[in-house]
Amino acid sequence: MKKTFLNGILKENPTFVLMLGMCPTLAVTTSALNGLGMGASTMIVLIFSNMFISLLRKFIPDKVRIAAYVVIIASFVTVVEMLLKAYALSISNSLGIYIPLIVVNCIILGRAEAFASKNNVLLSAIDGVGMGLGFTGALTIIGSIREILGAGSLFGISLFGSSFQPVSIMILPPGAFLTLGLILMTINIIKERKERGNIND
Amino acid sequence: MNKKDILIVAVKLFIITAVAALCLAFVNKITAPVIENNKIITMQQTQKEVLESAIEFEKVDVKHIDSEENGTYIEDAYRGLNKEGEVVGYVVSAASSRGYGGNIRVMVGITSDMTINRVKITESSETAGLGLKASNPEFIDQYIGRDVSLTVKKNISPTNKGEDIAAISGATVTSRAVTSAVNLSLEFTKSIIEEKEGK
Repeated sequence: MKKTFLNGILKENPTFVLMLGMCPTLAVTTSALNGLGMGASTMIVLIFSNMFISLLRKFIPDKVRIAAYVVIIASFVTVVEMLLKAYALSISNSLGIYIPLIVVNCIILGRAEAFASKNNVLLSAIDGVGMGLGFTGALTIIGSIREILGAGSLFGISLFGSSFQPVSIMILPPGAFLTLGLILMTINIIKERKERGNIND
Repeated sequence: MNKKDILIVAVKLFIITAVAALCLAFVNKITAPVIENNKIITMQQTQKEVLESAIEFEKVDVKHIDSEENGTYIEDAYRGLNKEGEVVGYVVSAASSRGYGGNIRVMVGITSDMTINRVKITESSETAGLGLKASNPEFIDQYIGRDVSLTVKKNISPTNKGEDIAAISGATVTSRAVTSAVNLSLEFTKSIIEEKEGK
């Protein structure tokens, strides 16, 4: 179980390794807080959709499983959205745009297909937590980098004085690609060094 | 696959979609009135924010007044009344489709002497760190006290007088969109008052 949990955070990190959910990753990481909010909302949906689909895995016919997954996930997210708008308006307003975006996040469908349809409910829930944390961590890191360089702040707190000239491109789409690319490059360099180290031993 | 297998798959899928539809319909039935009510409460709170001197608001019939110009349009207008029932001003909801990320909706509180009391941005999809800054007091408070049609100028400091609005650095499009919505709201209120006095 611990292996499943840690898997989503490092070894099979959805953003940096599996490269799933790139659209929200690039679009929503304009600040550290946005990244954190989107990651947390996605994690909650991921945990429950994994659990639901794992529960129904013997009932859903294999030939139409993707259609079934999409219906279940989209309905669940819509129900959550309606409940938030009605009974938790302030949360709904801060997370507003993220909620509908989660439905099209490939991580949800990806994990449903790769894990939840083949494992029991408990493991599926843990996978949801692990992948969710991995995703949230990745988004917060990317969002922080873009916010620090592109707006001179972190979580809304100004870091440098007013003389700081922000690199505006960082909070625009090209900045997203640049940040992600450079992070992936760094990770790959570290991985290669580790492997070369292991071969030499 | 033989016919029986196809039938089983179809039935199972039907059951899944039917249950999903039922859940959605059920939750919708319960939440729809609450959501509608929340929208009204939020609107009333914002109206009070942009025109504090009013305690009550009455909708003004706006359909017959010209209310659209270059992608900017008026959504509705309310008369603001104080506790004696006198008109203290108007609150106009306007929107511009010319925002950088799409529609920007504003609520403009205008006192009876045709001066802008306060502007609040109620909806926008602008970029964080750029267009979103339009909601900061440094930008949005520039509209307070103005009574003429305003123009956005770049590279000037935020001001409260005259005809200029200082653009947000790097977000001229957003600045212009908000200003055009505010301008249209002011013009629109003038038409309402003229019409009333004309009668």
